[in-house]
Amino acid sequence: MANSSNPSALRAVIWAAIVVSVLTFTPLVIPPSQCEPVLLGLPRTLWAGMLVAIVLVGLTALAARLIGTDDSGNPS
Amino acid sequence: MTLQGWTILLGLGYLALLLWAAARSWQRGRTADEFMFAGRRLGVRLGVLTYAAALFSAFTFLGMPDFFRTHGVGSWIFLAVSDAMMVFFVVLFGTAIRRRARELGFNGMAGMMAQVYAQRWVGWAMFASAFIFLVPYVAIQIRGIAVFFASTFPDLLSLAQWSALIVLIMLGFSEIGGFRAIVFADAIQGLSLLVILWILAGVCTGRVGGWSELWTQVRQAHPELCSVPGPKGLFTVQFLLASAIAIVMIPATQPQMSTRLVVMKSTAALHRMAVSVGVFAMVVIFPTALIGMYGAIRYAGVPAAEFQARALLLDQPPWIGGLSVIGLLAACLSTTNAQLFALGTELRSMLHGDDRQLLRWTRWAILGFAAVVFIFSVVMSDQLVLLARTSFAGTAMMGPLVLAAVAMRHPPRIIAGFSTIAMVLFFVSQLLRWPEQWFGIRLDLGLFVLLAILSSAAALLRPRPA
Repeated sequence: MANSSNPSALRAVIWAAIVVSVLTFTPLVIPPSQCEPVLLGLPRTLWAGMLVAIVLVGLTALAARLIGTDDSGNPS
Repeated sequence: MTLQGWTILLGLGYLALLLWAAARSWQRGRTADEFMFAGRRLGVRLGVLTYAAALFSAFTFLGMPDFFRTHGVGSWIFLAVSDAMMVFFVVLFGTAIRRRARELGFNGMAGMMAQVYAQRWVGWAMFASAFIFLVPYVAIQIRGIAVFFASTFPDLLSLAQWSALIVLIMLGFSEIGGFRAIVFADAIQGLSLLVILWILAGVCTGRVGGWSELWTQVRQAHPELCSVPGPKGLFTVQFLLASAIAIVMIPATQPQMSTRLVVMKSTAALHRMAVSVGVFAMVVIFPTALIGMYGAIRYAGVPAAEFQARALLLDQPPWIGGLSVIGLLAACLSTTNAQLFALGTELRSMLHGDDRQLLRWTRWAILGFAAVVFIFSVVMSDQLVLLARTSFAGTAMMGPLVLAAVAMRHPPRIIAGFSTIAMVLFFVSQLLRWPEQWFGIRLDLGLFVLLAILSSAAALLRPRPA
């Protein structure tokens, strides 16, 4: 975190990833025994899970931009 | 041409590629560092493919379609969403461990942990967790592919002979080529896994009348597959949460994955690799859902091996069936090779001595590990996905130990103690078949929560320099 050019933005992205991850395990994403609504033929849990995965990968890309690289020599 | 003919033809092509990779990587008089870490200069493209190939194994190819068929769409949360969480963790953890590796040097996770905690037993505990939980995981994959070959070529070789042949190919390849050859093989496997799974999924979807028909039939015939917890009640919140924690911890606690983070040529490359692996994971897991749903429509209730043989081989045109067998062989070889090789690297990181002598010992150790794996592959059961999950959960117990060592200059040693005790307890629970739930809580989830609380308390209460 110390090497980030924008630590508060990075902190916000990390919190967003934590919140999205926690929401995954709630009925918002995995309602028990509920297939509807169907989207493009896909049952609710599957398309909601795909959405969560896409959001998390997007947040990963954001975090990667914000975290800073600090590569003064490769590990040896 | 028949399925056997295509398998032989494609198999020879694959072996030729492996030989090319081994020959390209072989150098006379190379150092142990070159042999074990390929000079630590992995670029983004190779990095993505080798990380993905080490992660996605026979368990993705064989196990995930069957998991979707048996337990339904919750399988996506179990693996794809957990993998997306993991790649986020890779960016944070990878950056931190590379910084630590620059300060301390890096020969393997076990050696690094022994150094940070200034206790050799911590390194040996790290090595033991990798050994105990990776060996059965490697063995089950070899068994999986041996079963598949035995059904493709009935009466040619016994199961044990197929297992022995696979172990020999794997061993010869890594002994000649080292880590660099494994990375090349991973690249071949990563690409072939992606292409072959989509071809198989396309054929399966077409056979039931297309995308809409596939999902309509599943919703009508097996509505319980379309939601959690699935027909057998496996995907409870506790199961999914414990699985997610275990999978997120993989980059920290499975040495073949940690090593791949450290040997990337730069941290920027590591970050790009993490994002790409996240995309790769989704694209590679989705076709397994289509194959699984096809299985639910056509082969509900049949044993796993029969469904796999039919959906991946017999229902396919012979050339796709052949591709399937070779894709599976590639998936199995690259993951198991990465894991066996990592065990050698971990052992080496705990030893001291002359470079050439260390290299010799490491090679002998890999040979020894391969022999143990062969024995296990002959005697164990067929629960591919659940055994893989046990392996992830077991090594994940070492998470607090590794995270504390990466985040703190002088982590409290008691954290290493907590992790080791949890890892041993989990191992004993599997060995003695303790109940999965205690007071309504899964044992693995309970141990994760307890570890998190104790380790956080130890970190907060540690004495700080004045």
